[in-house]
Amino acid sequence: MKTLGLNLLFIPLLLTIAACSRQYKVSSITPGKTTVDQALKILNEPISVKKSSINEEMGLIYKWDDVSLQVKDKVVKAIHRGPATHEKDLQFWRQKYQGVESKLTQLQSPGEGLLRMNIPSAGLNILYNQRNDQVVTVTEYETL
Amino acid sequence: MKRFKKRVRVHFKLWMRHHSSASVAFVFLLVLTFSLAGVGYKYKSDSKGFVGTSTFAQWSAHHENKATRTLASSEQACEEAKLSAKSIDKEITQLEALYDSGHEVQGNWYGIDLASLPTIQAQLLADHGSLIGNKNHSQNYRQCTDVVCVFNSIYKDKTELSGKLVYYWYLKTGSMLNLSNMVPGQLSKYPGKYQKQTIKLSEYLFNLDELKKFHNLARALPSRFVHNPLFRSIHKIPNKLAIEQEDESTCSKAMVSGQILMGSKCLPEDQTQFSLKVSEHIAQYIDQYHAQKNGKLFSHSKQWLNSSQWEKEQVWDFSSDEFKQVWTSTLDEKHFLDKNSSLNPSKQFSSLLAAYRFRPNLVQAKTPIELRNLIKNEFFHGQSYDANGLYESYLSNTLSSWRKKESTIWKDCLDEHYNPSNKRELASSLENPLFTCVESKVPNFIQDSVLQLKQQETEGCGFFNNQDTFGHVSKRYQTNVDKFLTEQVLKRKLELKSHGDEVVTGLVAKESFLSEVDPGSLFINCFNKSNPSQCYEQNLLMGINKTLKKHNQLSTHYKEVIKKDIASLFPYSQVEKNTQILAKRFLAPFNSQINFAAQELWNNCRRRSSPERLDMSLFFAGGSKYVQASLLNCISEKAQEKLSKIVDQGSFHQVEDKRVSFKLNPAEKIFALTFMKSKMKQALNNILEEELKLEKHRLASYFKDKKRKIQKDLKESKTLLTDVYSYEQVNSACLKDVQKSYPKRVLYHSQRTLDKGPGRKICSSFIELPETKTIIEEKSQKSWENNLKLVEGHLDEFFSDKVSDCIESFPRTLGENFEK
Repeated sequence: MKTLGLNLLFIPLLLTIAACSRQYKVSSITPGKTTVDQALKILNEPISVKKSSINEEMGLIYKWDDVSLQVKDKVVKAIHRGPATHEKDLQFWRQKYQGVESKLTQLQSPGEGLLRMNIPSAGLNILYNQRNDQVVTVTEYETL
Repeated sequence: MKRFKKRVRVHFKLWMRHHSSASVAFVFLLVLTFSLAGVGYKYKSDSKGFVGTSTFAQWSAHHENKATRTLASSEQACEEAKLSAKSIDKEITQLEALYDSGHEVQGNWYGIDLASLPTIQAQLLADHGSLIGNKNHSQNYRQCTDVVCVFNSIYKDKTELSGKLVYYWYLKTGSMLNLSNMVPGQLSKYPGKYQKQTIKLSEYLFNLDELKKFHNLARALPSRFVHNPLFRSIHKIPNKLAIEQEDESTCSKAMVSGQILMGSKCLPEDQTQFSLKVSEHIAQYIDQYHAQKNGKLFSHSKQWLNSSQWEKEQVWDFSSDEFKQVWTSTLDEKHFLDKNSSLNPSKQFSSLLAAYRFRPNLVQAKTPIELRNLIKNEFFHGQSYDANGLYESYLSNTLSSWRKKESTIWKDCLDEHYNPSNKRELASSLENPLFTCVESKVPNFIQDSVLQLKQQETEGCGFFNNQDTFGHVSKRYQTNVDKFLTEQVLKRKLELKSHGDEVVTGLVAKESFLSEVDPGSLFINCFNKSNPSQCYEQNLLMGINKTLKKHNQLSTHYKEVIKKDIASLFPYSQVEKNTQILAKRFLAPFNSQINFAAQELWNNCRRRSSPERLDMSLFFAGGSKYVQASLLNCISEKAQEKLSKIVDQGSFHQVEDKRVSFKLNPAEKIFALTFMKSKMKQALNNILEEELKLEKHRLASYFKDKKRKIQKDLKESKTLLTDVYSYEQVNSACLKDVQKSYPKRVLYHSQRTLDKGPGRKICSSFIELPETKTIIEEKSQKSWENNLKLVEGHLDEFFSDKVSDCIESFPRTLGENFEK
C-alpha cells in the first residue's frame, strides 16, 4: 500500500522524464563523432535503412519515426530531427544565432514554401515551412 | 534514487503520525467532494449545448427574413442563374443583407464617408482600399455612394457590369480582385512598374470575360473555399509578363501572405480550367488554415501521407554544403492526376481538392477510394460532384427537407381533418381525407424542392435540364423521390392506424425539438473536443431524450422511432458545414476591426524598447523575419485581449426603433476566436511586411545622411588606426566604432544584419580612401618589419641558446688550430 502510494508519486515524474528522454537520447549523438553502432545502441533498431536516393555518395539513411541519421563510413555525418517545442518558431533560431553568420534561402520544392536557414559555424540547418509557420526539421551536420 | 524514495517514505509516515486519522478523513472527503463537483461541472457544461439556438443561427434568421427569396418558376430560376445585370443586382442585394452587423465603420476613404455605407461595403474599403485605384495619382470618389460606383469608375465600363462582378466576388468569397497598379512583392517601389516596364492601370485589371469566369467560379466554390481568413486577394500580372523572381514557366503562384498572382499570359480561356487553376491556389490556403488551427498542414498529416504512401528523404550534401529534401511515393503514377501533383504532398493536396470539385470524373477514375473518401469527408462534407454524387446529394437534401417539413404538413392536415372521435374511421381505411390532404401536398413539395435546387445549386439547372449529361440521374432522382415520399406517407398512415394518438404526439415532439434545439449549438460546444463528432452525437441524443421526456405518453418503441427520425435530420457533417457558413458570415464584418486592432497593437508594442528574451509561447512569431523580442512578447501578451474585446461586441440589427442585439455566449466566443486568430495573425504579418520595407528605406536614408559624419569621425578617431595589422583587423575595429552610430530603434534588423549591410559598406569605403589605405599599408608594413626584427632577435637568441646547450652537452677540447 505504501509502495503503491509512493509509486503514484513517481509515475508522473517518470512519464515526464520518459517523454524528454528520447530527445535526450538524440541529443547525445554527435555528427562526425558518434559511430553507427553507438547510435543504434542509443536509438534501437531503425524502421528502415536505405541508400540515399538523392545522391548515393551521401551515404546510408537510417530512419526512425522522429529522426533520421545520415551515415557514411560507419560514422554519423548528419542528424535530421524534428524540433523541440521551443524550437518550432524560426524566430527562436533567428534570435539565438543573431550574432553569427547565417544564410536564409528558398528550398526548391514547388508549392511547399520551404526556407532553409544554414548556420555553418554551428553545423546547423533549420528547415522552415512558411505555410505552416513552423520549423519542420533541424539538421545537425559534421563541421570540418 | 533509493535514498530519495526512503526519505519520502519516512516523511510521509511522520506526517501520517502527526495528523489524526480524522483530519486525514476530512481531507479525503474534501478531495472527493471537489472531484465530484468537477465531474458534475464538466457534465453540466458538456450538456449545456442543447439549450437554445446559437447566436449565429438567430442572427442569420434575422437577416434571411430581410433577404427573402421568392421561388419563381423553373424557367425563371434557370434564367436567373444566367448572368445578367438584373440577376447580379438581385444576388448582390441578397448577399449584402446577410452581412449586416449593425456596426458602423468610421472614417473617410478618398471622399467617401464610410459610416454612410452598408457595413460590408465600408468593410471592403477599410480592408482592401489599398488594392483600389491608380497609386500614382491622387484619388477622389466623392461622387460615389457605393463601392460598385468606385469600381466602375476605375473600369470605365458603361454597362456597369464589371464593378458589380468585382463586388460580387468579394461578397461570395471574402477576398478581393485587385484594381490597382501594384503587384505584391514587386521589385520596383513605384506603382505601375513591373519587370522594368511602365504599365497602364488597365493592364492590371481583369477584363470582363475574366470577371465573368470569376462570377461562375464564385457560385461554384464549396464552403471550405470561401471566407478563408488567410486568402486576401487575386492579382493579374500585366502585359503577359512573367512573375518577377520566378521561372518564366511559372504561370501563377499563391503567396504565403494571402495573395494569388495570375499571369495574364496563361489565364485559361476554358471555364473549367480557369476554375481549376484558381481553386488550386485557394486550396493551398485551406491547407495553411488547417495548420494554423491544428498545428500541422493537412497535406503533411499522417492520414494524408499514409493514404498516398509518401516518404520524405532529407540529406545534408557535403559537397555543396546544402540541405536537400525529396518526397517519394510508392503509389502508382497512374493514381496521380498529373505530373505536378506527384511532386510532393502539398501539390497533390491542392490539385486534388480543386479537381475533386471541378473535374470529379477524373478524380473518380484516378484516385484511390481511400483518398477520395478522406477528401470527401474532411473538406466537402460528404458531397461529391460527379453525376452520381450530385444525385445522392440532391436526393439527400430533398429527403432531409421532407423530414423537417413533414411534421408541419401532417400537423396542418391533422388540424383540418383529425378528430379523436374519428379514430376508428382512421384505423379502418387508408383513403381518409386526412391522408388525401397529405398526399395532395407532395407534388408541390417536390416541385419546390426541385426549384430550390435549381436556384441554390450551381449544377442544379444542368442536372434537371441537361438530359445528355444528367438525364439518367435526374430520372432516377424523380423516381426515387416519388417512391420515398410515397413510402413515408404510407408509413405514417400505417402508424396512425395502429398507434393513433402516439403519432400525433410524436409529430408534436419532433416539432418542439426542431424549435427548441439548434444542432449548431451542439456542434459549437463540441468542436474543440478530442472527438467532436462523438461528442455531438451524444449531446444530440441527450437533447432528443430531454424533449421526449416531456411526452411520457409515448411508448418506448415509438420513442426509439422518433429518436432515429430526428437524429437522421442532423448528420454531423451537414451541421458542421452549416454552422461554419453562418459563423463566417457573422464574423466577416469584423475583419476591418481586426485589422485596426492589429495596427493599434503593433503601434503600441513598437514603443516597448526594453531588451528582452523571447517568450516561447508566442501568438505571432514574425514568420521568417527577424523581429525584436520585446515587440513580439508585447503582441503575445495583448493580442488575446484585443480579440476578446472585438468578439464581445457581438452584432446588432436595427428594426425601426428597436435594437436587436446578438451577443455570443462563451462557447461561441471560443469558436469565433478560432476564425479571428488566423485573421489577426495574417493582419500582423501584413503589417510586418510593410514595416520591414519602411525600415529598410529609413535605414538607407539614415546611413546616406550619416555616412559623411561617420567617416569624418572615423578619420578623426585617435584609436582606430593606432594598432594596424591588416585590412580585416581595421575593418573589425571600424565596425565597432560605426556600431555606436547605429540608430537606436531598429526593430526588424539584427545588429549583425546592419554590420553586414550598411556597416560594412561604410567601413569598406573608409578603408578604400587613399589616405586611409596609405596609413594602413605604412603601418602594417612597419608592424611587419617590427615583428620581423622581433622574430629575428628571438630566433638569434633561441639559436644561440641552443648552440650553447649543445656545446655544454657535447664539450670539446679546444684543438691546436682553435684561435682564442
